[in-house]
Amino acid sequence: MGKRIAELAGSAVLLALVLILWEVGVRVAGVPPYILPPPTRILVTFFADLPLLLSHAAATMAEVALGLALGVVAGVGVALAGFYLPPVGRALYPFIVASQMVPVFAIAPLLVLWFGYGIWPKVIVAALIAFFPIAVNVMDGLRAVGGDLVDLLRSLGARERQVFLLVRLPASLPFLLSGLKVGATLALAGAIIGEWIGGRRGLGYLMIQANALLRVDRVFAAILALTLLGVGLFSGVALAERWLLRWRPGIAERYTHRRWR
Amino acid sequence: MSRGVGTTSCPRAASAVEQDVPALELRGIAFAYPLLAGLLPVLAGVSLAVPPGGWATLIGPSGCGKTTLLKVAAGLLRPAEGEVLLAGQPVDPLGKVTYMPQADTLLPWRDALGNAILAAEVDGRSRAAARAAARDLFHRFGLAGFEGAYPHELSGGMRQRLALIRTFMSHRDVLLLDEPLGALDALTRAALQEWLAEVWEALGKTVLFVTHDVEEAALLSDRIYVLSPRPARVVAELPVDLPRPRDRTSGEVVGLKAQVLTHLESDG
Ligand SMILES: Nc1ncnc2c1ncn2[C@@H]1O[C@H](COP(=O)(O)OP(=O)(O)OP(=O)(O)O)[C@@H](O)[C@H]1O
Ligand SMILES: [Mg+2]
Repeated sequence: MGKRIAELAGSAVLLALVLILWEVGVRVAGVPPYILPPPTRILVTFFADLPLLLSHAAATMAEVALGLALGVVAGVGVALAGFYLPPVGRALYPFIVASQMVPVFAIAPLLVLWFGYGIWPKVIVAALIAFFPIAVNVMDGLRAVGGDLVDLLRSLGARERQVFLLVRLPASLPFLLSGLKVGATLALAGAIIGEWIGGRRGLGYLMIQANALLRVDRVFAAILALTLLGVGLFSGVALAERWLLRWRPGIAERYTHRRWR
Repeated sequence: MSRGVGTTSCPRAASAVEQDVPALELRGIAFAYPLLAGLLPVLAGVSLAVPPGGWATLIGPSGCGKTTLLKVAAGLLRPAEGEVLLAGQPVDPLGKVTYMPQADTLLPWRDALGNAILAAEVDGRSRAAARAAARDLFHRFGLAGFEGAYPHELSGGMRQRLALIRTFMSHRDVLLLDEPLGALDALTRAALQEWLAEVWEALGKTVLFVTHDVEEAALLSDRIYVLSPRPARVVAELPVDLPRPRDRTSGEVVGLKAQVLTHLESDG
């Protein structure tokens, strides 16, 4: 516990140091605020623009939430299809991997062309990005269930539906959640890219617009909002994970085990 | 009796009445695993019988096919030859007997009580009733107070006891136990052997048990089947008529151990 506080204190000191250097450096060197505003100015803008930031953040969050939901449904669906229909899984696998070689950002303009300037191109970019870590993780999770466990249930006369509900689903939940942790962060980045390319709402749109007006302080305020959003999203998934997987040995315990090995 | 009669009466009800009919019988079981380069013969005509409420033990060299035989008896593997009979009726045993795998198969995401009632859930029986029954067993078998503990919070011996409670809670009369005490230290193991003997006597289940441990076989069994190296056959069938509880240092038990060892070595 004390150690954890010490670690956090270290990070806080480092952050404070960087911010002070930034503040002093910018002021001493006389860098104009439309190139690099000092942190205090960014903070002032952040609070002054808070209603604006919040309304755009809400738009971004909606895209991310929808995109994640789609990504989870598609990822879990493909993983299940691949698991229960091995030929389908084998046929899909190279495409799933290849799809990751195409940067989703590169096809974002096409999505805007096809789906217009509304919410959907962003949702689809977010979903495409979140899909991969979720599909791959859930597939691994379904495969990780031991044969003995399945034998035990089958010997009791369990049908596959029961094996799935009693064993495969809970066993792959940790895998789904770690896929979701990666997916959620990536989906946020995906939504922002979508907003850069076209649209009227969202933090990405706000950044592009502020940039064009040389309101660099507002760009930074949007970045700050975005960071908070990302941290919140990740913490949200991590918290859900802590609660859903509360049966797992404590993190502290795992930590000491690793150190002693 | 009435073997040829095509009745579909419940095998459990029948076993209680017809004491002479084995609760579990394996007749001429042959099995081979398909490998890339052909077949790996594992069971070469194994026959055995366990009377209702009896305890038969399989003992044999590692890799001879004991686990395979239990999986055939559980209906998880289909034999190439031979048949499985429950209470005298040839049946597909899947779902009618309880198989306890060799490996640790507690569900890590369920607490101890949740693990104990697994069979009830598969059967669609009342969970509340199963929980109440499980609490009772927890109490009787020294796990009281650990109902809410997750498997990783239990010691090896407690986990094994929990897996056994789960097996005993299955509402099936025939239990197939694959080295349930295999992974334990000698002290825990000795304690659990006594515990297991008591539970079995109290609950009146029919047990087919696998072990590597000659002493364990001598302490627990009504009958010991010594198997040959793979492909397994029965090389000796030793009835054990010693009173219980048995003392591991008694002359009879020591003599029986020597007898089993002789048979094991004669074919090893
Ligand atoms: N799924 C499988 N596919 C192919 N071969 C198998 C399979 N399972 C077991 N075998 C082989 O069958 C033989 C018997 O295995 P089995 O697990 O029944 O032995 P065992 O008597 O239970 O051994 P142990 O005492 O070590 O548990 C071994 O040679 C093993 O390699
Ligand atoms: Mg085995």
